[in-house]
Amino acid sequence: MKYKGFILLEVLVALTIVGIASVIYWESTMRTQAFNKQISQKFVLERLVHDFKILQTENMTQNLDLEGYSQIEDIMKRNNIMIIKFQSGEVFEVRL
Amino acid sequence: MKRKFHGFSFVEVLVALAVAAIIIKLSSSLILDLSRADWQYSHHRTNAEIELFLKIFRNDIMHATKKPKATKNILIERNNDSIIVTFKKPVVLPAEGELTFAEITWIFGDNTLSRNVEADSHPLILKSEGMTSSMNQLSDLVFYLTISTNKKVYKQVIDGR
Repeated sequence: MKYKGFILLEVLVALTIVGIASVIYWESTMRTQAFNKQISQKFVLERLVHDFKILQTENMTQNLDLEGYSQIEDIMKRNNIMIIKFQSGEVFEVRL
Repeated sequence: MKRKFHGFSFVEVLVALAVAAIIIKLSSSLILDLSRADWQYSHHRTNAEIELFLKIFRNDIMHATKKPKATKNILIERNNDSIIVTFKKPVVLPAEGELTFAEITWIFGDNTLSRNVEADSHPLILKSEGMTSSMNQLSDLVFYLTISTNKKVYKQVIDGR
């Protein structure tokens, strides 16, 4: 009787292809996610500086609600420099 | 007649079970990680989209036309379920290549953000389940817009000066 089926080598090749495809998909998803996060971080920073400048000219910086700038942990102002600390640990200095 | 039985030996069955267990473990954790990554991906994408919308909104407000008193000519209407911000700004019409003043309408509604330029047949629209918007007036011409989603809150100062 002749058995029909895959030989071990065929199964291994198929598994390798599936593995490579999964790794490529995983890598691209991770990279896109990191890119989106970076873009969001840049936009949050820009929005915060924009809002702070307007509120500063109106003497209303106490109205700035950090809850609305989700990735930001803390801000400090020294002279004309605004120091912005992100939850990820990154720190940016912006000249106002 | 003596019959020969075909079958797997005990060691073969053990090896097959071990291989199956490893494959099930790897594939289940892979599927779980993929679904988690998919959720995070859509969350980060929505976040980036809202930030992009707010950037366009800031840019629009910055270039809004002004009244003779030099304050921006912005009309803000608040309904029960939406905030409508209307103003004019200079735009270049791509077809004619002419500079003109177009009416821009931003609608911050429940679950939807949209931007219309004049009677735009393809307005910018962002839909997100559970999104709500509200606006506080900080001074005569400065407003604080709040957009809340299920996960995050976004604040944006609107400068009408």
